[in-house]
Amino acid sequence: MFLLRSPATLTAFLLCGLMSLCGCASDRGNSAVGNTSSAAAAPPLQVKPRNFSGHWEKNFQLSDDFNTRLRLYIADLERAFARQSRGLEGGAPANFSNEAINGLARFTEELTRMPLLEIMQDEQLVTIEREGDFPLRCAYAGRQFARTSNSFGSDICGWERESLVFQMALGGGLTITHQFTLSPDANMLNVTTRVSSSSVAVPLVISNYYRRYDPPEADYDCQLTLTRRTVCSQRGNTQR
Amino acid sequence: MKLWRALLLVLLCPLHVLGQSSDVYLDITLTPFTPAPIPAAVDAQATGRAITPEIRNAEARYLALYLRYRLEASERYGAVRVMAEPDPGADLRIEGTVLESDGSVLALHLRVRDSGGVVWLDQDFRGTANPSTSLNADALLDDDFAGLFSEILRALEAQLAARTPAELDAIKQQATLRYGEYLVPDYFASFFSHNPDGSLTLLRLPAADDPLLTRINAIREREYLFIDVVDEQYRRFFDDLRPVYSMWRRLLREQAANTQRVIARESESSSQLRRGSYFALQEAYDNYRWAKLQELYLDELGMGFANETEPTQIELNDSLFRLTGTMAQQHREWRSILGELLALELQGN
Repeated sequence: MFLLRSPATLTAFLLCGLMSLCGCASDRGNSAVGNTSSAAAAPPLQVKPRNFSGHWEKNFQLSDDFNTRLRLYIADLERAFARQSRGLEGGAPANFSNEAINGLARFTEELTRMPLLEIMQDEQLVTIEREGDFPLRCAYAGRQFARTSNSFGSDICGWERESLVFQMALGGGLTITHQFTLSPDANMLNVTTRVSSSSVAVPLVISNYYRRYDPPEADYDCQLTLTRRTVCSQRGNTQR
Repeated sequence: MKLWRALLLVLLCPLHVLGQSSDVYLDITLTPFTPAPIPAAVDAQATGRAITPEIRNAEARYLALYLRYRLEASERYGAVRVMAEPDPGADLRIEGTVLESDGSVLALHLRVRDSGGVVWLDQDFRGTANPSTSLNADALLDDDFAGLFSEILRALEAQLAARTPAELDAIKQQATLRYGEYLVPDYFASFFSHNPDGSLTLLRLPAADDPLLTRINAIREREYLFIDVVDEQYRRFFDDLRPVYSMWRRLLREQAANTQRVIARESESSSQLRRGSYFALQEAYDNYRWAKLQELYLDELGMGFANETEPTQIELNDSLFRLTGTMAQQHREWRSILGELLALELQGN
């Protein structure tokens, strides 16, 4: 099993990301459609990133069992609470609202289902299509990371050693980080998702594994148009 | 002073140059407008958004072509042509810059000059979209910004109305001399001088049977045959682009209005859910997801536009490339031949 969590480097990325996201927050809503993006300020990539392209299906055997993970998480919270109770004089009491913990758990469970992924990658852009959710896109354009923001939040994505990291800072103190890491033989993909809310002291971390699969080949090539919507032609036939 | 020069020109110039002395129709040449800038917010995005350089370029051509058809339909002018390169011998030259275009607002800067270098218009025009379809009007002239172009036509017609037929005739003669100067500068440069402001001062006139002037006019007619071939290509481009561009503008307007609505609604209702609750988290994520899907939708708009218009644009670019190359080659040959002829004639004299 390949190990994916490197707390020191991930922390550095997250710190850098959070600083960047704070910087972006003031940009919100500046443009006509409320979107801004930039990869220009980031340093250039020093090494060629690994290629994540392909179709991936969730390996339920290797992935975290959500309920088990949640029990461990609650135990963590209880320990944190106990530690804080013992030293109550020192710090402010943490918020351990049941509603906030349940909310975070339920939200994280839904967010990390993602049974199928399709990843497309070139030297400018990585797009991760997720079943049932919006695609994650990182327009890194040869840089270490890229930032985007819109009226409802900011995100930073980029390369942390061999991992691809997406971090989103959304309204209400919600922060989501997805870290994608390939196994050395590139046949297994780990997605570690960290969800934190300003209402709960400890983030919830879920680790899922995916394996490659080959989808059945489509018989048609389709192209999006404006006036005719999607126009398809039989594969190999250039006429439309 | 101007008048007697114009009258002298009318008397001295070859007949086919003078055919419109009673009812003067100026020929107009437009070049594709300078495209509008791409908004900075989307410029940095590697995937582009709904507004891409390709769309801006197509739009700049489309708007010049639309103005051309409107000018033609007004029946106040002679031949109205869109050419890839500025025409040295045009009676009136129209150059434009698209200042702003987002489907809802269109702003153009137009500069119109006659062959004498006199500026007729040098101003901004700005209008908002007013989609409407008239059953009686020519479908070709339907456009969301038809009102803006009517304003341009009115401004131009006011300038036209302020000039006498003799002045208009003089413009036509100056155009011929300018074209002559372009091809045989050594000979035609002696007829006028260039002023620092770009206008011309007529010094003398060519003789009525001036052989070089006759040749220049024959060359000009031949050149129009080339231009008409490309004109057909431009027309096809315009016809192909029109429904796509019109839909792109409409979708962009709808998207912008929708975004404003959602942002306004969310800013009003965002504090109603308990912070940290499942529903508050879900709402924050749903809003963000919605914004991300809007970005995707905008990308698809740009992609759909490109997919649908790319073949026509490539075809037009090929034609223009061929024509520009052919014309440049022809001009070089004509210049060389005319220069030799001029040298022979001067030797004979």
